[in-house]
Amino acid sequence: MKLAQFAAVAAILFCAPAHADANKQGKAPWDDKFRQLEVDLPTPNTYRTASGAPGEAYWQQQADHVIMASLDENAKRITASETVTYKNNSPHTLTYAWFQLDQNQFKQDSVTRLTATATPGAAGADTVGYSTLRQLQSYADKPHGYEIKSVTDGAGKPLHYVINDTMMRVDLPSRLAPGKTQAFKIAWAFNIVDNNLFGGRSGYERFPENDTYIFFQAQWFPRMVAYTDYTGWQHKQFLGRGEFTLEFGNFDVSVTLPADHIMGATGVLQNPNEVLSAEQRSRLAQAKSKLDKPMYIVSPDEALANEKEGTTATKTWRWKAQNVRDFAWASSRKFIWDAMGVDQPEGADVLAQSFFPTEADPLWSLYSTRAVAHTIDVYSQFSFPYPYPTAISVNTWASGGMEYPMISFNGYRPVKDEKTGQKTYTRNAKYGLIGVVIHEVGHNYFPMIVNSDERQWTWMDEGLNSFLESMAEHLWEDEFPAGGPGVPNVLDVITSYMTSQEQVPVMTNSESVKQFGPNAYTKPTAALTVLRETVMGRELFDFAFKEYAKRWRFKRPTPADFFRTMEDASGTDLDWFWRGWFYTTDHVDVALTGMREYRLSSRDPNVENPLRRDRRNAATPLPPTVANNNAAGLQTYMDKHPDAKDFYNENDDLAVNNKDLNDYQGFLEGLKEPEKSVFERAMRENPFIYFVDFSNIGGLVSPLPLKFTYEDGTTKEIVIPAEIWRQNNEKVTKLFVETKKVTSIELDARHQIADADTSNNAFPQRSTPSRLELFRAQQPAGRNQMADALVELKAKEAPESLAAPITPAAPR
Amino acid sequence: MGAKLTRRLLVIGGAALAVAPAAFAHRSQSVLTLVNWNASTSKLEVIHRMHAHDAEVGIAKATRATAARDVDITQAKNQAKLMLYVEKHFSLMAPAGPIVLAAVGAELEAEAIVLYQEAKLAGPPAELTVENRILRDVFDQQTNLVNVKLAQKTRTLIFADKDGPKLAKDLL
Repeated sequence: MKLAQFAAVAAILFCAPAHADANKQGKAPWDDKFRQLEVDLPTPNTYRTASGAPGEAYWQQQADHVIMASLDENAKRITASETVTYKNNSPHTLTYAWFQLDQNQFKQDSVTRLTATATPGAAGADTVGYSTLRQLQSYADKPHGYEIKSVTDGAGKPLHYVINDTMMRVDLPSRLAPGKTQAFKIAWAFNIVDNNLFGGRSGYERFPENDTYIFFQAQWFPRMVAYTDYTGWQHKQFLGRGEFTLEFGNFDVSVTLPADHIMGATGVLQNPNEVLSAEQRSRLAQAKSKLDKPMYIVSPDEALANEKEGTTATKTWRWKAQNVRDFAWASSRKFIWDAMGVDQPEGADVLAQSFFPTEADPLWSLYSTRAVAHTIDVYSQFSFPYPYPTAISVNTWASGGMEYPMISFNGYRPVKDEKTGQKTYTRNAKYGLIGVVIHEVGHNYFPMIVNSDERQWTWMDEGLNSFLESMAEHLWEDEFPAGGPGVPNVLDVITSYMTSQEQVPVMTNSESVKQFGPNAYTKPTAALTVLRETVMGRELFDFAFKEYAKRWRFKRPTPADFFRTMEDASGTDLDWFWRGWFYTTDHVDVALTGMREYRLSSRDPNVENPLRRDRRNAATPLPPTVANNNAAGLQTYMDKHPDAKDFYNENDDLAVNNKDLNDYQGFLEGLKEPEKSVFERAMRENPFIYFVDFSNIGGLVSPLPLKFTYEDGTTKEIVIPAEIWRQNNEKVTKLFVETKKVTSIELDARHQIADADTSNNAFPQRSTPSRLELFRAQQPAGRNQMADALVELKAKEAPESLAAPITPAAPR
Repeated sequence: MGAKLTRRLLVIGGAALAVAPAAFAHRSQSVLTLVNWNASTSKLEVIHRMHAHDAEVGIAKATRATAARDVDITQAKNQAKLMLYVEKHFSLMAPAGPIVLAAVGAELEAEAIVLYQEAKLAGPPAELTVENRILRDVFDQQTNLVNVKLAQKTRTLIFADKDGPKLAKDLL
C-alpha cells in the first residue's frame, strides 16, 4: 500500500482524470462493451415486440393428432396411422406442408450416418468395435427408418409427397388460406432400434439375463415441421444433436400392446377400466391424495411376477393430451409403477409417477417420484404452475435422460453383484438420478411449454433448464450432492472452459456448437447465476424471469424475446451482459492492481511538518556507511565537539518558521464558503481516502464485489455495478472515502462473478498456491490414500490393453 | 495425388464393445484437463476433472467390475483404478521425449472427481504433444478439453471423434 498526501483539499475535489475513450471510432481500436444490441437483434414487429412480449398479431400453427398404433413385441415393430388436422393460423397462404420424419435418422443412407466419422482406437490407431459390426448386421437383417405406406387428405385422396432425409414435403390439394384447416392421413411402420446399439432418444432396451424388454417410443410418428414468423418452414434436418422445433396441438392416441404390458404416456389415460385391474385403479385413486411420499400402483413383487409370464393377448391403451408439442410413451411387462399427488397452491393437482424395472430398484422406489414432485414445486415458483395433469419419470436406460411433455426417459441404476445378487448403488448414482429426474421433468417448462426452437438454439432450453435444475438441487439439500466435499459452485467450474481458446459464443446454432455441455448448459447456467445473485439481485431477476416464462408459455420465444423481456421487466439495461456472455467468448478476469491511501492535509505547519519529517525518514533510511558507523559506536567530529553546533544543527529544513505560520494563516483566512465549511468538517472527520485501480484482463465486463477489511478487524462488502467500465473497459480507478483505516481490499471474495484468476484479486497481494499444491498441503502427513492404493494396484496388475489389437494383413 | 489404400486385418477387441449410447438432453460426457507450469516448484502440474459417475462407468468397463463397491469412486482403491486408467489413456510428449507423470492424488469435488499428476522438469517445454483417450472408449460422444498454460497464453486442444495425438505449440 502506497502512502501519499494531498497538498490541498482542492486537488481532491476538482482534479479531473484523463479518460481513454473506448468508444472512439476511426483508426483507433473500437471496442464498446456497452454498445446497444439493437443493431444485432431482429427488428421488433407486430408478432414480437420491442419489450420482448408476443405482439398483437402473434400467431402459431396448430396441429392436432389422432393416432392408432400397435406394437409387435416379437418383431420389435410399430405399425400405425394418424390423422393430422393442421390449422393455418399464419397470415400466409400455404401450398405445401413439411413433416418431420425423425426415425429416418436411423436409415443406412441418412445424412447422420453418411456424415458420421470413425471413432479412435489406442494411440490414434484404426479400430472397429463390435457395436459397429452389430449395427451393420442389423442393417443387413431389416430396414431402419420410416416405411411410409400412404399419405392422403382427410377424404382418403392420395397426396403427392417427396422425402428429403428426415423431412417430407406433402403438396396440398388446394391452397391453404389463412385461418383454414387441412387434414392429412398418413400410414407408416418402422422397426424399433435397439437403443443400446444405435443410441438416439428412443427404441427398446433388452435385458439379456432373462430376455425381457422395455419399449420407449419418441419421434415415432410423422410430426408437422414448425412454420414460424421468423424462419418460415424450419428447414434444418435432424442430424442427431439439434433437437426439436414443434407445434402445439391436442392428441388422441391409442396403442395396442401385449396385454400384460404397463404403459406410461403423455396425457391422461381414457380407458382405465379396460387396461387396469380393479386393484390398480383403486391404488391410483388413493395415490392422487398421497402427498407425502409415493405408493405403488404395481409393486416390485407384482412386476417381477408379471415379467415372468408373457401373453399373446393384447390390450389397447387410449390417451388424450391437450396443448402439447409432442407425444411419447413407454411400455413393458417389467414395470414397477409408483405415484404420488402434488398439491399446487396456484394450480391444479398433479400426479407424479415413475415406471421402472426391478433392475432400477431400490434406488428408483426411493427417489424418482419424489424428485418429480420436488421439480414441480421448485420450477413453478420460478415460472408458472405446472399446467398438465401428470408428470412421469421412466427408467429406460442405464444413464442419460430425455424429455417429452409429461413424460421423461431417465437413467441411473444400482449395480448388481454377480456373486451375491445384491443390488447396491453409489452416492453418484443416487445424486445422478435425482439430478437427471429434476433436469428432464424440468424440461416440461423449457421447452415443452415455453416452446423455444431447439433445432436453432440449444441454450434456450438446456441453459435455462440447467439453471433451474441447479436451483432445485440446492433446494433438495443444502449441499447437493450431500456427503460430498463441498457445494459445487458453477461460477468456479465454468472458468476453465471460458478461458479456453476453442470456443464459440453461446449464440451459435445447435449443430455448430463446440463443447456442447459447457457451452449450452453450464455457461448459460453460470451467466444466469451471476445475473441473479450479483448483477440484478433476486427481486428483480425473479420477477423478470417469471415474466418471460409467463409471457411465452404455450408460445414460441426467440433469444431476442428473452433478452428483451429480462430488461423490460427489470428496468435494467443488460445489453452489455448479453453481449459479453452470449455473443462473445470473453471471460471474466478482473484484477485489483493498485491501491493508494491518502489523508487530508490540514496545512498547519505545526502538524504537517513533523509528519513530513517522519515520512521522509521512513522513506530514506541512513546510508549503510553511516548506519554501520553508528552500529560500531564510532563517534563523529561533531559528537566529540558539541560546542561547534549552531542553529542549523538544531533545526532542519522542516522546522516551523514564521513564513510557514503566516502562509497557514493566510490559507485559513482566504477560504470562502462553501469550501470553508467543507474543509472544517473534513478536518473534524479526518477520513481515509483510497484510490483503487482495477484492470479488466478477461475482456468480459463485470460488476466488482469488494470486501474491505479495516484496521479494527471489521469488514464491509459492496458491489460496484459493471457500468463502471462504460467509459474505459480496460482500466478504471475508483475513489473510496472511509472513516476507518483499510488494511486490505479483496475482489470477488465470495466467488460470485466467475472470475477466472483470483490470484490478482487482493491488495495487498496474497500468494496463492497452485491447486495441486493446495491439494497436497491438505493431505494428512502429505500422503494421499489413492496414491498408496495405486502402488498396491500396480504391483498386482497384470498388463491388459483396452485397445483393439490389429494384425497386418498378408500382402496380396 | 491419390489416396492410398492400406489393407490390414482388423481384429476386434473385447473393450471395443463397450461403447455406450449417448445421453441426450442432459449433461454431456467431457473430461477437462489443465496442464500448468508451476515456476516456483519447477513442476508441470496436470489436473483432470471428470464427472464422478462417468468415472465409475469407466472403471466398470475397464475392470469389468460388476459390484458397486468395486467402482464406488469415493473409495481410494477405486480412485487408484481410475488413475491407472488415466495413466494409460493420457500422455504428454515434449520435444525432448515423453514426460513421465507421477500420480499425486485424487479428491472428490461435489459431482466431480479430480485427479492430480505432476512431473519435475528443468523448464517448461515450448511445445507439447498431448494424447487424450480418457473415457472415449466408454462413451460415444465423449469430448475432452485440454487447456495448456505454461506461460501467459492458454492453448486449448479438443479430443473427440477420431482425434489422435495433438500438438500444442508456442507455449512460452
